[in-house]
Amino acid sequence: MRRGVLRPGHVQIRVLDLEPAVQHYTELVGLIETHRDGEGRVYLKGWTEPELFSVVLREADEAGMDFQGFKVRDEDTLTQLSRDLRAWGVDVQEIPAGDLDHCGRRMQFSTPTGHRFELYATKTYTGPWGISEVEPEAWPRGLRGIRVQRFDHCQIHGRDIEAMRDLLSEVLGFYVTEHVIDDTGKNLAIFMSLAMKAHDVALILDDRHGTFHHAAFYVETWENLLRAGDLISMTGTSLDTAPTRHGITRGQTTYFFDPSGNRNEVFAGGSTHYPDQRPYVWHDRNIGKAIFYHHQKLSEKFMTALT
Amino acid sequence: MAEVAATPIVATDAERGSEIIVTADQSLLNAIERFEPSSVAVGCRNGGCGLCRVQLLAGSVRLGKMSRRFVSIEMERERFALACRVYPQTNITYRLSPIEPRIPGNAY
Repeated sequence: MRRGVLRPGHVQIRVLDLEPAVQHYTELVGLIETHRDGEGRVYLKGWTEPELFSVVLREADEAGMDFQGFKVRDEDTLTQLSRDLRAWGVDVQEIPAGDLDHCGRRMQFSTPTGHRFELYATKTYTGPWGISEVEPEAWPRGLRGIRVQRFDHCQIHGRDIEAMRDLLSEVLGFYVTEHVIDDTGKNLAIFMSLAMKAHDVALILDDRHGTFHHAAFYVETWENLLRAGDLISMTGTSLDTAPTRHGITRGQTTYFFDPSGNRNEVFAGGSTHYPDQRPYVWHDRNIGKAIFYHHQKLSEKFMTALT
Repeated sequence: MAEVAATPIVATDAERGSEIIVTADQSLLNAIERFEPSSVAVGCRNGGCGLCRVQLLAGSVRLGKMSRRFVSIEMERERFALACRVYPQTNITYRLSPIEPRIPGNAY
């Protein structure tokens, strides 16, 4: 049931060296740098995104994800959801407006998977980059690299993904689109959405609690993905998986690493879901085809490299 | 006069006894990937995931930034490093010291 959580809003990623990271996310991925704050963090967005930022890069001595934020309908909804989270037993910390520039207060909490998630209602609204909101052109000139449209989702790894599923569904209104189970019915992977997308968050059962598998960015077509593969090779970027298709989500995909070892995905297409649709089920014995539909097997790197 | 080619740098895996050539500005991991790909787990190649950790036993290297989650300051003092961020300056000897590359879900 809808609870007023609209969509993925932002992710803050730790990088070892700021400037090579900015170059990677702007020149290769094709995000647009929109702001730098007093702490030296760099704010970026995809060209279709209406708010001022969706990705924040923070220089740190280890790689990984600091937190992921979701946008909610309005400030009253934010207050109500914070109460609901507390009633569910979650310790919610209010971070005042302005801690992230251009962003209102954020309600942050630790998840059963060992991550920090947060909700916000207010962020500087700029409209898309490079096109007007009145009679917009098809796309803006001057985009670089892979020209991604938006930040799409994150995949995170941790221990209690079933509790995470319950929290996200019962309190925040996510629903399961697809999941992977073993012979006993235990969930090994759960994909959840807030609206019609194939997934807004991917949860993987893993003893490496609180770890980060990837941040994904959306492009429209397989042709865009092929071009992404060309650019990854051209720039000598560390490749994980060349362009292919997922069984889960039916999306088309390629994976590569940023200069600090955080994995990025460029993702196209993917199935759509209406609220009456039951989740798709995958069995762990066929996991290779579920993840990489063409190769039909997992690569060790894809499963083991995390930040 | 033509420049004299630099003496090749040799990296020796102390446990396997195998020797590989590392060219100028090439990371140890890149050389291992080329000559002995099965000996090391290759992950991000960028200092973040820890899969390619080694301990240096002899020789001089230049180091890039590495995630402190996998190489703490104390470990760096004991010459642990991520091979993707190790640039040998002389012949070196190393041993593999990988983080435990656990597979998610215990079932995959």
